[in-house]
Amino acid sequence: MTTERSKFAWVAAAILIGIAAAFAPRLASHAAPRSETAVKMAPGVGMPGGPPTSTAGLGDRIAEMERRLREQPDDVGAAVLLSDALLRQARANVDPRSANRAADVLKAVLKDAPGQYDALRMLGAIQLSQHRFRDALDVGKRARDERPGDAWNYGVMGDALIELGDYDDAFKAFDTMVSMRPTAAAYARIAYARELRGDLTGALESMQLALTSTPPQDPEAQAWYATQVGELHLRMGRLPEADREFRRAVFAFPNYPLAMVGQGKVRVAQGKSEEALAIYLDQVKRTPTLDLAGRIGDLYAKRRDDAQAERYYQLAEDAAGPAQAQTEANLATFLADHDRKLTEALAIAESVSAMRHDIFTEDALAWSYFKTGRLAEARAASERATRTGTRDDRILSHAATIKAALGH
Amino acid sequence: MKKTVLLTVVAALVMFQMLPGKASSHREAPLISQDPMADNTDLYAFVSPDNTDTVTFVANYIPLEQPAGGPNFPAFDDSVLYEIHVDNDGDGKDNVTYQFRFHTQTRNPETFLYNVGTISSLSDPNWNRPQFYDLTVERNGMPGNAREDLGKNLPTPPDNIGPRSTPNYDTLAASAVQTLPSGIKVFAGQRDDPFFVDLGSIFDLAGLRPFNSLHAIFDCGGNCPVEATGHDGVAKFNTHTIALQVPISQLVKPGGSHTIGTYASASRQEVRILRTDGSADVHGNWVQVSRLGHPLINEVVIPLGDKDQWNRQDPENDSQFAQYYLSPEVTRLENGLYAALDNADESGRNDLVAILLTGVPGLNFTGDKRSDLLRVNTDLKPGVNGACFSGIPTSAAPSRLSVIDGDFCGYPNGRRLADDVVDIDLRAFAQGYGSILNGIAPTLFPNRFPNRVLGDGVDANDKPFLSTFPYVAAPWQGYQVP
Repeated sequence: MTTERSKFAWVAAAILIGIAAAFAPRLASHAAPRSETAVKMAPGVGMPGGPPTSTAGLGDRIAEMERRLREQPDDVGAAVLLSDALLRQARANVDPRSANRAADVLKAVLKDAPGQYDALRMLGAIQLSQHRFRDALDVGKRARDERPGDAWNYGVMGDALIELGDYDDAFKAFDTMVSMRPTAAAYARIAYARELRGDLTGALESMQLALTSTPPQDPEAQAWYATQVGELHLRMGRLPEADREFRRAVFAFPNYPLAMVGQGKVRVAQGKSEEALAIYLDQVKRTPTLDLAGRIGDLYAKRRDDAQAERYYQLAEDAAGPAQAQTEANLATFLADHDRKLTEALAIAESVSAMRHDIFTEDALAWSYFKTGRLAEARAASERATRTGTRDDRILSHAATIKAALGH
Repeated sequence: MKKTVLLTVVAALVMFQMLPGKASSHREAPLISQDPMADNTDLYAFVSPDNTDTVTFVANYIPLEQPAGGPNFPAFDDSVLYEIHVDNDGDGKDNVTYQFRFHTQTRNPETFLYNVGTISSLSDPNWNRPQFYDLTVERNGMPGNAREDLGKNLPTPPDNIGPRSTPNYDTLAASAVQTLPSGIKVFAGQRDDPFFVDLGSIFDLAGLRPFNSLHAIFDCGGNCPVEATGHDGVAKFNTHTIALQVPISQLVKPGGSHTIGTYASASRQEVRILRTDGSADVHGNWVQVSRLGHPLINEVVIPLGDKDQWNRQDPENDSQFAQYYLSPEVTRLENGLYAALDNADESGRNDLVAILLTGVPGLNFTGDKRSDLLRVNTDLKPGVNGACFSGIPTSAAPSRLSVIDGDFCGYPNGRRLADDVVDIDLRAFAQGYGSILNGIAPTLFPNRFPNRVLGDGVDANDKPFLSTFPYVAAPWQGYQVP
């Protein structure tokens, strides 16, 4: 029996390379990777033949793959499909903890089969979610070298590079990605690059294309793209359009957190702060993020309800976690914006800017320098924060204030 | 579910990791690039049995549509260019190209619902998301304008939702069949997926149920007994069909060959980060992301690592893939998995090159140029049911095995809806060509045994086809098939 098994091992491997990807347009992704070892794959969430990316669909898929992994801990297919679903869940819940579970699972299968391509490319995506951008870049490059024809890897590399602030290389990766295969994933990245360059009209066009190109069985991605379209409308001052897109996102994926917050932002822009507050307060119970708690605090501060404002500002800080564990400069920006713990804000901004040079980190650094009276350094950082031509309101207003303080 | 939650929490506790709080991060954009709406799943082309002066093309997109697909029901993608290409002089290049662009209306911007009441006609205001399309033809080396609009704002039917939303579905769908001034008939909309195959068995190490006893792994503890019939893995799924019926005179050159080669495709626009100016030029070139001539080429012949590249290429460049046809991996697998088979040649497969890349001499050969086109000899006229045994029209029922069985009006001379391309391919790759083809060309088409009886046991579609255009069966209804 043993010899029989080994005799057929190559058959099992070969058939999964060749035939089991048969009917790929029906059951597996076009980007479905070839693997060196036999992988029992199935259609991913949101793919034809797979469960939809609804809350229930994601939950079912996660439970099913956890069960498969308990029975067979080295089941690469289950690990990849589980990670895929966990990544979606992390985004849908604005809760990156599920990404950690995915990383564990993938690393376990990669330990036994280091060349396992499916697991490797998925690990890159998971590491992005964990804000381990240098690791993600390395993994993305390794996967790219292994499979130069897979556009996914250029997405991973570009995402990592953009977070690290290496914009020229990031934009090259995205242009490569879209020319290899124009898809929703590529359109969304082109949109973000355009936005960073201050081209909001072009960003909107491309993000709209991403939304149009997303199939109905992937409501999570539909909701995500619709939310991004809404955000772009909002930034361009088109409130009814923004509101409609946020509502579209919630129609596709009920209670989609980013879209719920978006609806609140529209209310704030319309001057309906009572309605906005109600939306925010309802949402913060589900997703207590720094961003959301900060917005609630601001609304209370406007109403001169300092006690409530302070309560939510504190919640914002708590949601961000300890200063020394920050992988992005949000907390620094928040603290500096609200004149809280300015020394700590600067320390965070400096420590994050040792890791990455994206414009948001540079802005946090500029603003923390400014608030701590280090104007020359603020000016230098602010120039770096505006280097892409961004039209981000906060970055531009910080830059203007710094410039004015220097007497320019 | 509870355990999942618990595991997630435990993982989070064990692995101390901070929660990034930024809510509007772009970095979390989805990476999955599955693109069903631009996924061309099948192409059929045949001389129309009820109008033999025409050829009917059926190009299907969007795989495995669940009939109960709400609240967002599937539709063609407004941002995709769908095309049916025809080469009539054997060089692999388009001479006639039919282009379809869709646009969706929103009748009531106050709701995202597909419909807000019964849809009793194509113009019913209760249908909130009607989709229309424009049809354009491009001609190259053919009489007529280089580019001509054949139809504007042509209607599509709604999806088949249920007895309250879409009663009288067949009538509703039939009203979307258009006859254009050029004499062309056209239909675009949801249909039953006419493909049939035992996906479950083929995925399970190609364990063809009728041949389970001959499989290398024949002992599954009683779980893989021999079964005479397979299980149709695409039964009760829908797809989106573009059907086009064109007078043959518009497809061939005056005085030219009567054998045409065809393929269908879907293309998306490339966008670049840098726009050349502030407003115009927001879109770049069309990039072909999916194409289909012969069935199963992308799935069975082209290796995974080459699939994107293959899909981008036009058939005129297909010589670069010739080695995959000459030394097909599928044949090695068939030989390896089924010891009982008479081992088929694993290299030098000129038979496959003929069938798949150049056409079969005497049947539908178009020259030495190798290109993956579905070739139809339009001089072979079918009888009323679509068959022409020995090339002579007959009212007899067509053979699912087509040319192998002597019925020359089917695959690989074009492809009819009922042609069993899975069984035909299983036999062709194993060189079990049957006595008729073997009699015509004994060296090119060996007749190995038992290779010539291979099959997945699924011999027909789960729904009968229509006898008139668009021939493809009505879609399964969401209410009936959850």
